Amino acid sequence: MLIYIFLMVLPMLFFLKPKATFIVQTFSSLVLLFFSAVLLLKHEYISISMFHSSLPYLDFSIKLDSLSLLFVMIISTISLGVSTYSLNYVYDEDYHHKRLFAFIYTAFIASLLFVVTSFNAISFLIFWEIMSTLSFFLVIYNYENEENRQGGFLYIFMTHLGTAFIMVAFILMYLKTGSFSFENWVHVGLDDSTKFWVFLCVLIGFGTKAGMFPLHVWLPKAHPVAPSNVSALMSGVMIKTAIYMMIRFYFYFLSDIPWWYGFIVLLLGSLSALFGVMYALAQHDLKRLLAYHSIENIGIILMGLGSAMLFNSNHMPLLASFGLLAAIFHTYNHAIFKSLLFLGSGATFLKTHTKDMEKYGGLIKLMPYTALFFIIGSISISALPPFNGFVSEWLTYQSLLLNNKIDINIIHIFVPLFASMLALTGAFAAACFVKVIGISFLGSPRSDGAKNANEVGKFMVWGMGFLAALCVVFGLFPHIVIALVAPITSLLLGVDVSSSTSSHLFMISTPNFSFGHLSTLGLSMGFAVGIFMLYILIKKFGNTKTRMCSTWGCGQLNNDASNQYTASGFSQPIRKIFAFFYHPKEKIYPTSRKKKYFFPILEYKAHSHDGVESVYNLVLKVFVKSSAYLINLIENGSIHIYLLYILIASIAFLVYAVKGGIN
Amino acid sequence: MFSDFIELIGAFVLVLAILQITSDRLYFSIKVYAIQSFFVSISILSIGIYSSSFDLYVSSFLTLVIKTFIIPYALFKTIDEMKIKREIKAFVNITNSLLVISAIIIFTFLLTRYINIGGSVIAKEIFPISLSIIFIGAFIMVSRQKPITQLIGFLTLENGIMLVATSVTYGMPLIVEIGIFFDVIVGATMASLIIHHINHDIDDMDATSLSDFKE
Amino acid sequence: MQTFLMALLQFFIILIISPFIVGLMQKTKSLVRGSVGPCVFQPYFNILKLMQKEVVLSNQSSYISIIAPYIVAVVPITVAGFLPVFDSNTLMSFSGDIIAMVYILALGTFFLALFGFDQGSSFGGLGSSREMTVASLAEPAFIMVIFTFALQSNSTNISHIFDSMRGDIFFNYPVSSTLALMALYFVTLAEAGRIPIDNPETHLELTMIHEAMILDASGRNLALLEIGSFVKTTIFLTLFSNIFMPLGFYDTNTIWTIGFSIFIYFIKMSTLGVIIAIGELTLAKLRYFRISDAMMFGFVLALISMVTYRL
Repeated sequence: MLIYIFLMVLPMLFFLKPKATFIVQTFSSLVLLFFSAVLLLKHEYISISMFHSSLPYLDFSIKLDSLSLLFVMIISTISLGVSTYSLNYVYDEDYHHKRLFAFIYTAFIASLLFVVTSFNAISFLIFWEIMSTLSFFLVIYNYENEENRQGGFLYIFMTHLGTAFIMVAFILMYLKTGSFSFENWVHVGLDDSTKFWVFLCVLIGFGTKAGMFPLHVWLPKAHPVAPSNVSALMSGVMIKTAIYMMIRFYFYFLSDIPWWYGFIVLLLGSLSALFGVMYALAQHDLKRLLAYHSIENIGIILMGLGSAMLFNSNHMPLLASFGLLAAIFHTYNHAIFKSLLFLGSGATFLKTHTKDMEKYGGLIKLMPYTALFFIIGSISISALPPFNGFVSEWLTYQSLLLNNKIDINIIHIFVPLFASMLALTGAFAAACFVKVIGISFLGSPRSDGAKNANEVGKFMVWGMGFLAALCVVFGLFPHIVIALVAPITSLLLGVDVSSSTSSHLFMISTPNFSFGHLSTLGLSMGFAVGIFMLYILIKKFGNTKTRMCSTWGCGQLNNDASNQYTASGFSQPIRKIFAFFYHPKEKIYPTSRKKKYFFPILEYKAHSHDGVESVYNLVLKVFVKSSAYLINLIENGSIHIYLLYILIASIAFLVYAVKGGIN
Repeated sequence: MFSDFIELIGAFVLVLAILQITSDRLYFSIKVYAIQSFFVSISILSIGIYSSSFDLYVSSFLTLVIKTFIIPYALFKTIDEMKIKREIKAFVNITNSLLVISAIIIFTFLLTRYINIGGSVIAKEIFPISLSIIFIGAFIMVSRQKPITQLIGFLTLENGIMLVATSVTYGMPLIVEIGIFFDVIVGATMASLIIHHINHDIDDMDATSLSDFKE
Repeated sequence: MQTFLMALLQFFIILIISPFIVGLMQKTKSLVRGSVGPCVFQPYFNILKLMQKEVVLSNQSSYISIIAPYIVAVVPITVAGFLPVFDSNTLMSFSGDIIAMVYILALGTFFLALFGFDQGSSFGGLGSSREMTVASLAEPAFIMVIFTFALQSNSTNISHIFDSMRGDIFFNYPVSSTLALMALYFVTLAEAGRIPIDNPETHLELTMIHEAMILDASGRNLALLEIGSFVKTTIFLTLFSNIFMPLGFYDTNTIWTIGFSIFIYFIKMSTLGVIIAIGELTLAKLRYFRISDAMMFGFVLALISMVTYRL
């Protein structure tokens, strides 16, 4: 146990030597990953109460049960990849104060690990706040940019709003149980109204952190401006800690939840999925696009979670374990491919010095490894077989389909609707990543930056390669993850999910085998055999010669890069079809002063606005105005009034003390 | 089995009502309306055979003659006379209309699951289907600008009412039905007359320009 | 062993019949228009001819241009292994179900769209953009239809669905099934790129979707892409015919019954091909921005089929 804590904090000690920090972080992550997997598979759980302070309520107890262990695994997997990557990245990007960066970076990872292992509400909150604050520092690390500061402040504001709700939930739990230790909260019986408020506060509080649909505004602003390795950690891991706590609350602490709690989670999940991907399509800033995809994937995770909650409240533990498997599997997968994609975007950003996709192009020839890994990540995130994203999305579909076994009218009608929203989401995600790959990696370079790009350093390649390999491995052998999730389902629901879903070799199935099954390994074997046969066929009967020639440009000779399709052009049909959703503002105006008939160079600008954001702006405006008015009223600058306040306050305290004395 | 057949006919009527929403050509809308009325008359006829009631034969025949032939013919005439542009202007575009319609369908199907229809029912599913058709007709009337499309919306709505009246409750008394037919004919004639006059007087076919007459 | 042979036979039947179906559609259209038109077997000759030609690639292209045609071709071929023709034991049924099938087909579309981008020409990107938009809009209706059939037959395995369709499912839920098939028709038109959605005959940049992406392909690459599109069309027609007309599933005891089943399948497919061709002749291609309306209409049909099933 102490080894664990030691491993968590060890890299922080090396902060004077940034390079050493990253190396140590890599190794400690590796060891943590290994140990956690072993402990998880051997069903050995440790708990320790480290430090009892003299202050009331405050004690740092740490417990590693199966749920925590899995999230420790997720964090250490990602940190393994990202730390390897950072060995080159931080030096190539040439950050100032590298020691500071290294220290905050490792402290951030340590705080993430402590968040998922804390077993006491107070210590949890402390680490939660440390995590939020450190990530805030990392977001504004390049504080010279106005955009970064704005994103950072929005982030810190929203995250504290969320924390307030989390605190309310914790206090409610404390009032009912009289304890801040998570041990005493397990399956606690609450009355209906308290249960509802706890549910709501947890949903809002952790939903803010996770980037759930109406509370996501900070995410597309904060994630893109952070350094890429930090974005990878934030998108891949930090928002997952909120999912971790949601699972903890909804399956471990609360019991006998009404069915419509699950329905609300399902609804919000499907809305976030669709909303996230639709805004992602309209973006041409690569990192912002990926940030919107995080919202989408959190939505998919919440859909799995919601359907598991529906089953759980209808006392179908086996099916609930299946839904939970879908959610946790997608959590792991999203952590892997999203951090991979962020690392890839960091690599392109490093070499081309711009985040604008419209200025990339042709990078597949200049950065072959980065492009390959990015394509693997894209296939995964678009949920295409045979990689890992597909497996978890398939599980989500199946758990939605199985929801029809619950005999409630609203579920019968709405769940297929959610499934088709998920289908639309998947298809849009594929369209979006065709856009990303097609615009940034294929074709010919669109700017000087893209023309002069070259492959990134070897540690960056290794870091991305590790995550890409995991995408493939988890896709082809989903049994690995199912085996890891199985202890969680037996802890939370009392059912071992692996026995019902992976009874056949290399094949996963729904709890009822004949309902549906999937073997990605078999599929990819089929692909491989098919491609091999086609190849042989062509070799034998066909012509294998290839001639290179310049692209046909309808007879035009100067076939430069500006002839290519653009990212805005790619998504234009969808923007137009769903105009009610995007409210696109399109403008065409001449950049030169020529008259209309002399072929001026025209510029086209399209801008779509996040509808939720404008609602927030409105609310904030009203709030700020009214609070400013109040402040003016109270603090009106006259010293006599202030003295009066002090007087009133002391009298009030006196009265309160006397009252207490009487009692 | 019989109720399945009736439900299938009802479903076709619903599909045609939705097709009505997607059309942006007046000729097409009217044709769709004629086919829809034809299906309604088949549904009434088959219920008539099933329950062997003479009233329903008559009303089926009337539906066939009036709604499948006379009203569409009159509407075609009106359109020809006025050389209306073929595009239908709409306040809500077609994709969004379809989104609204899916919401309507979900709503009616959910709602009717909580309604218990007493008495002898031939086809249970007809009830939500016809309710959807009624709402869709109303939606066409609300969302389209041209009076002639609004008229078609009204006629669609009326078809929905006809469907629900015959198949859920074995039809209304014959005299009531004949009265309804009379109303529909008069309504359609009046509407075409008024449309004609609007067109003639203000050279425009927009119901929105009617608001110019306000005081 | 026998079931394996059966499965292999079914798989090859789908592959072999696919260019013929497309040829038949072309022939029907020509005949109705009053011209003689190419031979029904012309697509076979086209593929053979294209195989013999050398490939001309753009110097902007990368290895995507080399691997994408293989993937685009192999994806529908793999899916063909899922589909039963006359027997419910199929080659690939162990490895996935109907939801997996949708996503495998999406993989093909994904690489086809990437192929469009790889040449760095404006046509390819245009085609990719349109194709991805149409494919995304068709997806919700497709999944809704699949959900309806899966709930009716209580399974997502394709063989199970076909078996129960052949049984009494279709007559148990006639309303729902009919509407679902109408929705499936729209999806088929969109995915196979037939006329109200896409015109497979023209090379006009205003109208083309699928053709724009493969404009820069030549030689064996084009042959592979064509095979992919033929097999994809056949897959959707098979899906359609074997659910809609659940005839032809006979026992596989003797060689004669098998032959008869294949014959019936063949007749069904040809009929469907002719029907679609005639449907193409009577319709005009939709304006690109009205495709969303058609797809939305298909979705509403699927939705009604789902709610009527659930009632």
